[in-house]
Amino acid sequence: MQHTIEISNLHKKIGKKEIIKGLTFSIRKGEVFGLIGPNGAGKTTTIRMIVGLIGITEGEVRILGQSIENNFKEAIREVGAIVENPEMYPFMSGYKNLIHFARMIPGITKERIDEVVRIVGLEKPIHEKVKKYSLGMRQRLGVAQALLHSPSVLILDEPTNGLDPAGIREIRQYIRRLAEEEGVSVIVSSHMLSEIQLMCDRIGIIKNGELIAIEDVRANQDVEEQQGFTMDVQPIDQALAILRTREDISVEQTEELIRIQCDREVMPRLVQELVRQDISIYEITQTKDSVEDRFFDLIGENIIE
Amino acid sequence: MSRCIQLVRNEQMKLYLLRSTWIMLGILLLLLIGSGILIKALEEEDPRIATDEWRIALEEENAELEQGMPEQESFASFNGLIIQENNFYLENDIQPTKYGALHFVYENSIFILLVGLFSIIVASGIVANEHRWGTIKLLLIRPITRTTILFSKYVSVLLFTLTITLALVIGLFLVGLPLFGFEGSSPKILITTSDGSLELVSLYKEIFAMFAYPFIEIIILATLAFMISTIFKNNAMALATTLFFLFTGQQIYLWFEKYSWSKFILFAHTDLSQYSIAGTPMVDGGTLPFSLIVIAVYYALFLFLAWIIFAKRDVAGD
Repeated sequence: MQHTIEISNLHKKIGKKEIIKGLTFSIRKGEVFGLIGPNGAGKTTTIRMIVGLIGITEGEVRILGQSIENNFKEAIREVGAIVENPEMYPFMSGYKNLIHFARMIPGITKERIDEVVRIVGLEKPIHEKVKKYSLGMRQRLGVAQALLHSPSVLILDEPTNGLDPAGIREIRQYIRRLAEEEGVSVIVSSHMLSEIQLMCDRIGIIKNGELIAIEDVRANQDVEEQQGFTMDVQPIDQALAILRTREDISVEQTEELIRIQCDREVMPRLVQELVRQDISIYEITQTKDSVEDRFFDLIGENIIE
Repeated sequence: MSRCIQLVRNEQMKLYLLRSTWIMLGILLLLLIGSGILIKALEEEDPRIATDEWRIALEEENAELEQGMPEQESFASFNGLIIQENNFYLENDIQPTKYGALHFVYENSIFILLVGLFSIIVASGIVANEHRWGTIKLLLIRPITRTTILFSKYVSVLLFTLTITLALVIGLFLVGLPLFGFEGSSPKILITTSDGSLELVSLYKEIFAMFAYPFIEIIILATLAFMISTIFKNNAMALATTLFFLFTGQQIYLWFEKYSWSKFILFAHTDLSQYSIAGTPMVDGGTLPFSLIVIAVYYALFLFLAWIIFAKRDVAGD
């Protein structure tokens, strides 16, 4: 498998304090990699080292085989990034901001600028000043500037920050499309597992500057976007019979409860159906999936956010 | 190289899209017009200067000035100078150049101080603002070395300074032209040399000197502001420090004049007009080459410090 980013034994020391303590991981072509951990765990520091904003104390970052330290220009050419917040020049229009960044890399045409504007869906407000943009619009403009030069690697630091659920879903679909259709490798960071879990192939969990686990998300997630629920209903046999007539859900019985897997959107209709058939519903809970369980086990629930 | 031109274009675009730049230019324009109106209202030159009767006009003015010689010494010396100048024209039988737009440009060269102020403001902000806006991160993750980024910003400061200096000179001329007319070809002006004698010189040359000497000083101070702003990422600090030196620089030299090392103080050298025929060197036995070397050393030091820190710095969140 071809790796676009290879990070080996990455260390960062500031003064006497070791902030990053030896990270090693690689990202494949077309893979979405989530970097997740509590605030202050070292996500942004790692990303800053990957893009060469801060020096590397020890270890190495290679992008398409080029070292970010020794061959900065060649390596960074293949990277588009938003580091921390999507900050742009507030007094310029979105379009002028894009022209500004387009001029910094050879070969970006006007057509390409228009194309990325279309991709992120900013056609309407693109000629307005950025200071009038909402955080969501800024986030999209940030993605647009990162995509201008069609990079092989896209790095998005906290891309879901400040977005509403609809915005998060949109960015998720968008990132998946880039990875699957264009083969872009993506690194996304977040302190909220739930926000990036669905867009990642793998998730690296980082804590106190160390990578404590890498979880394969796709492998144990056979049906995309399906969630697990547990139902406490009476009479249970009748309820099972009703639920088993539907084809878009999977049902199994555990002791006195029914466990089902289905799209979140399907749930209200199931409830209506059960109520109409005179089934008594005592409780419906959404079950955490394995990655989330693992995450909380590893990090400790109380220190998330 | 072409990438560098694109970067300078970017910097210029940002500069001229900032409202503060246009406020500066607006203030400058208003002051020029104000000065034109004021001078027009206060000074009325005898129209006979431009005719064959110029001798009569000068003699009458002399008589008037001698009669009404005021008590105050400053006025007396000012009037005395006019009489001296008038006598120079009369004795040498040279018709003085009539007052016009070029004289107006020459008399208002003091506005170059404002250019200095604006240039220092821009130099103080051009790197610090990127840190303030957070956009520095986006600049530094492009396939361009930090050296090139910094260089393009410095070139942009120079370009801006040159642009507003030219805008000032042209602006003054355009304000002066409808108000005072044009002098005609080869206008001359009398200047007092360092030994107190009078010399008739080309007005064009004098105008050039009046703007070029301060221009050099401005460039050095703008470079200082650029360095402070780059090192400390702080706009206000760079501005305050540099303005302090702009207004007190030569005073600083005078405080330390008695020490032998004082000849290495930058501000004893930045005003190169001290070596023109009308000036006296600030440092005893100072020469133009010595001053140029001192300036060059400081200048190189400012740019080197700015560069080494910008190129090596960890850009982390503030």
